[in-house]
Amino acid sequence: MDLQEISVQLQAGKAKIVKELVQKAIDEGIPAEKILKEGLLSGMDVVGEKFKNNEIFVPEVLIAARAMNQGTALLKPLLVQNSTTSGKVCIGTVKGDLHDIGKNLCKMMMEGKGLEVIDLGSDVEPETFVKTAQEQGCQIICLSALLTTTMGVMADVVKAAEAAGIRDKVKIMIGGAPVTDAYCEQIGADAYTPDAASAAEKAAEFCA
Amino acid sequence: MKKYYIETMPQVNESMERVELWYQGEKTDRAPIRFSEHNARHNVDLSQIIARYPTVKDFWFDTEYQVNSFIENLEGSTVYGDTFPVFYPNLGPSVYASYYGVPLTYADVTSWAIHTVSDMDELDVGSLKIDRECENWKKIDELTDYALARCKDKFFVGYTDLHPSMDCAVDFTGVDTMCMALIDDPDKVKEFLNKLCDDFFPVYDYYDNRLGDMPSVSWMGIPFEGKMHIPSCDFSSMLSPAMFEEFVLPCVIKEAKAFDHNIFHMDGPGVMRHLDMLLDVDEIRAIQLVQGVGEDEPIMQWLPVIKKIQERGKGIVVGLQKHELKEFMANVDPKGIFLTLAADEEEQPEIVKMVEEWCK
Repeated sequence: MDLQEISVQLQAGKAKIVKELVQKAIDEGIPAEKILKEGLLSGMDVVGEKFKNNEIFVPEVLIAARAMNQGTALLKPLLVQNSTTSGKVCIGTVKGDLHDIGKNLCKMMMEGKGLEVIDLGSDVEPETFVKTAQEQGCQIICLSALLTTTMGVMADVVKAAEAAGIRDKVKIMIGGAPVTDAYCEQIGADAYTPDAASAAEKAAEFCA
Repeated sequence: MKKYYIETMPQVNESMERVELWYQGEKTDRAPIRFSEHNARHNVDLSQIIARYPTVKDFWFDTEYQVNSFIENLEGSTVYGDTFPVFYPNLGPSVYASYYGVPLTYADVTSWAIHTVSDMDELDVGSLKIDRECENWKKIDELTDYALARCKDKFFVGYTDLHPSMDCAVDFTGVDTMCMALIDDPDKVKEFLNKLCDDFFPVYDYYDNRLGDMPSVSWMGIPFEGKMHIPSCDFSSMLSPAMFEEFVLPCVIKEAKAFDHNIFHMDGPGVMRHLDMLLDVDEIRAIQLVQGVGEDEPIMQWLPVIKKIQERGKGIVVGLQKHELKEFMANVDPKGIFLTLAADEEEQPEIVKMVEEWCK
């Protein structure tokens, strides 16, 4: 079967059809890795690009991600045998901040790049990021903040990673409305990205 | 126009007249200007104050502190420009949703709704009811009454921060559930939005009556002697123009038609993509441009948006930094502009003079 059809249906957010097509591809003996890469991830790439260019918006991204999840649920047992994730990220909104939309979008886009993402939620202590990265072997800590009053916690995470002796083992990425490139440089983080699609691209680049 | 007296604002009547003209889209002697941080002497570390309370919510619910600290901040100061001293009872932007039973969680400077609907199928729109006996309704009443009893000659009392329609719906559902529902169950979403919008008008009137002779004013601090409302939809930053038109705009129009004057709160560049549709709504008298923070904050990048709004004959509330003012004035016609900026009290008279010069 043409795996491109999975990609097209995923872009349209047709979860039920994506699920059926993925099952069909499995039944035809197509390797799970190939279905994931050429069907699901390829579809999410298009979604990410369109989102970045303001051709589609959050609802369309969310239903595409939902369709992808339906497909990956079928592939997961097959993929576990020979892990295909290209990297591991822990992500969260920093302490004192409950905004999670940007963080959730980043998570979806990163999963769409084939990364394993551990979602720590919102209002996350600096130590929790560091502990998770240590225990789970994450290559990236990804921080979100929407408030000028909470973005300072990002610097605390950088310091906590230094104190724990893992700073040279993890990349720290930051994002959110008040965050800038200059701020990223100021606190010694590794990358600032202005939107979810760019964050996913940067994370994939770090894990390559 | 009614005559007012406010101890710290000898120019209150002149300002009311200026702002009235601004609302009407008429020429003013100078652009209205509202300062923040008008009394830096009383700046306090909020976290230290909150630490005295058992919970953050107790801080928000301390009626005496909320009103008296506002009064204390006014004492011994003079307000310049059109910085009307306005106290509005505040439990955060989701208070309207909380009247339906949506719980709130409190942080130092804002509060959040705890979403109660994760599946639109489970929502029975017909059963939704504003509870005028709920804790938050009573607290807003108490804050309002306490402030009204102490405001004479000192400040205006406004109505609380009311967000009906889509933003209220998102308080129930959270963003993810609402985004999915817009695609999966659009009719149910519209039924929900209409209910939340229709219920709003009696709530507004309730506060309008309770506030008696006060001019109509809320968190934006721009009073009007008729009924003024601040329509908004922060959630629309996530939507395509087509979805905005289908789901959000009908309620914005319905809200706007019910009031004498409306200032649409355009929160961030994401909402700006819907500007053309908002400009087509005759009842929206002005737009408050909130350009965002970080890289979005410098005002000069938004001149095309500001000029577009001016060209359509609408007022525009522009927030900018002190250091941006001269360049801004050199490049923008004052027509329809209402400035807001942070400045220390001693700097404010000079800034007012600069704005007067600009408008000559």
